[in-house]
Amino acid sequence: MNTALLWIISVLLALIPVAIWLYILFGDKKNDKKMLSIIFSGGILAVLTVFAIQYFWIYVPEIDPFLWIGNNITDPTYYYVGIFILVGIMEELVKQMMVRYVDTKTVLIQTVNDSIRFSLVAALGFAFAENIVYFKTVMTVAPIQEIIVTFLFRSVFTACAHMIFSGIFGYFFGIAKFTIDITKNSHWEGKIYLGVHLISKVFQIPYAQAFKEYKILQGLVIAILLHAVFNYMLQMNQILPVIALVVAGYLYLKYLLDRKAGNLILVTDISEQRTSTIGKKDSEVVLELVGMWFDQKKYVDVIHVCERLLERDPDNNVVKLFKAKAMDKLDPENPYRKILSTIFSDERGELERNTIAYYRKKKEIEGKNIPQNSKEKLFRFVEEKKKQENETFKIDL
Amino acid sequence: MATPATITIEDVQSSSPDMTVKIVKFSGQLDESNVDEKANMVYELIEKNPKNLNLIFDFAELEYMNSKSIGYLTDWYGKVYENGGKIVVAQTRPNILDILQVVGLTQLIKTFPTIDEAKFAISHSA
Repeated sequence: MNTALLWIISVLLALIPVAIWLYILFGDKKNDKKMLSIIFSGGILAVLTVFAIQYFWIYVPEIDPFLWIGNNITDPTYYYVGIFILVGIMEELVKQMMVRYVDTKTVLIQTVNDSIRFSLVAALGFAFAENIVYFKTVMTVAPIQEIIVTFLFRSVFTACAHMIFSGIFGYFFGIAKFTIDITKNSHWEGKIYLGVHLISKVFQIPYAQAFKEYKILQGLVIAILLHAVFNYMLQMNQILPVIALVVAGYLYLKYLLDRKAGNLILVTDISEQRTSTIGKKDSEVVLELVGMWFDQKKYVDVIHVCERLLERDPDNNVVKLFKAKAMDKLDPENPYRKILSTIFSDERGELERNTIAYYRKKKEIEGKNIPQNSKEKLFRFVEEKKKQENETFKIDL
Repeated sequence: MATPATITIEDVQSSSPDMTVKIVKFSGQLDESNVDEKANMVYELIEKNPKNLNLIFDFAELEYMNSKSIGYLTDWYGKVYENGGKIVVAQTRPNILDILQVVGLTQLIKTFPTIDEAKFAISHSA
């Protein structure tokens, strides 16, 4: 068959699972299609980056880690483990880099779940590009039955596996991004992360910064290990464990995405922040109490107190987190949760979802025309403030 | 070293023989260093007067309450209320009143600006 035609058919085949997955993930939600397209293209670019790096190593074999593993590891099991861990490191890092890059430019990630969703899209872009190459290769050499099996398996399981690995990394990246609010929340909950405390002491960095690095590393390690296990089992033709891994990963991601706390908008536009009408020390006493009650599983009381505290301090993300987490902990059949769920919806208005857009819109209404680069200035201002807070905020454990 | 805080208890003449009324005067700062010890004094008072105990907490000189002391206040209220008694709070400083309001305790425990008003409320609720 003509090579160009093979490529076209491969692209069309690879588009089918993309369309289905995008519909499953985003079909019933309002989304910024342009942003999704950018992230998806980033995922494709990630594959090209991996190919480019591998191509580069052909010319500089001295620094080719695959070659090093091939030359130095003779045991087939260790060889495959080494190779697949390396593949996991490369692929997970480049996929996440694309999401991170777009996020720094556009304040893309406003909730922990945003980080998961956009990582899923990047992974889908990555799987799409990979699938094109696989489909084209299989169509060139294999019989029709093998083409069908490859198409079905890669469309369902490989695409899903890429999304799971990236989604889990995305979750930890989201936690790391909102380190300040999340570490404050953990502090009032009385949680102690010994690993983070150790990193903070050893590297002489603030606790919040250590927490951020720890979470990113944790997400990366989990994603790489899952990726390596998936590839290794595929290599060994262990199809049932592969399917079990994918199903378990899917359920875990679904659980993460369903949490109220994950849907909280934690990006704060400081210029729009409302003043608290409760003293800092008084607020801390209440938060300490909320943390105690949360620990004692008095979730309804926690929600009540948080609601009253939010009336006095409406933009306090730590209080919002406590409220959302308490709602997550309440039994789904609890009538109180059902009532609150209707008030405390996951869906946000378009203006609220994008603080920068909200800021622009408001100023435009006021008759002030803001040049495009003000978005960037405002974003830098917000990030600078967060950085300052990050540097000064330290928890004594 | 424990932060200075004192609790003094004063009897109040009651209009009804079945009813015991006491003013519990708090002063200083209730924090982690002293709250457990001070809370025991109130628990002892509740144990000695198992029925119809009416307490007026005078917070005029109480400068600070930590979260644990608010937890104790909730618990005292529960114990006293179960046995037909009542707790009211008087002369609370704005910062402490703020905390009590946000926590929701003012929905359970009535607050009064003066001791006389608190006494009046207690004697007329019998």
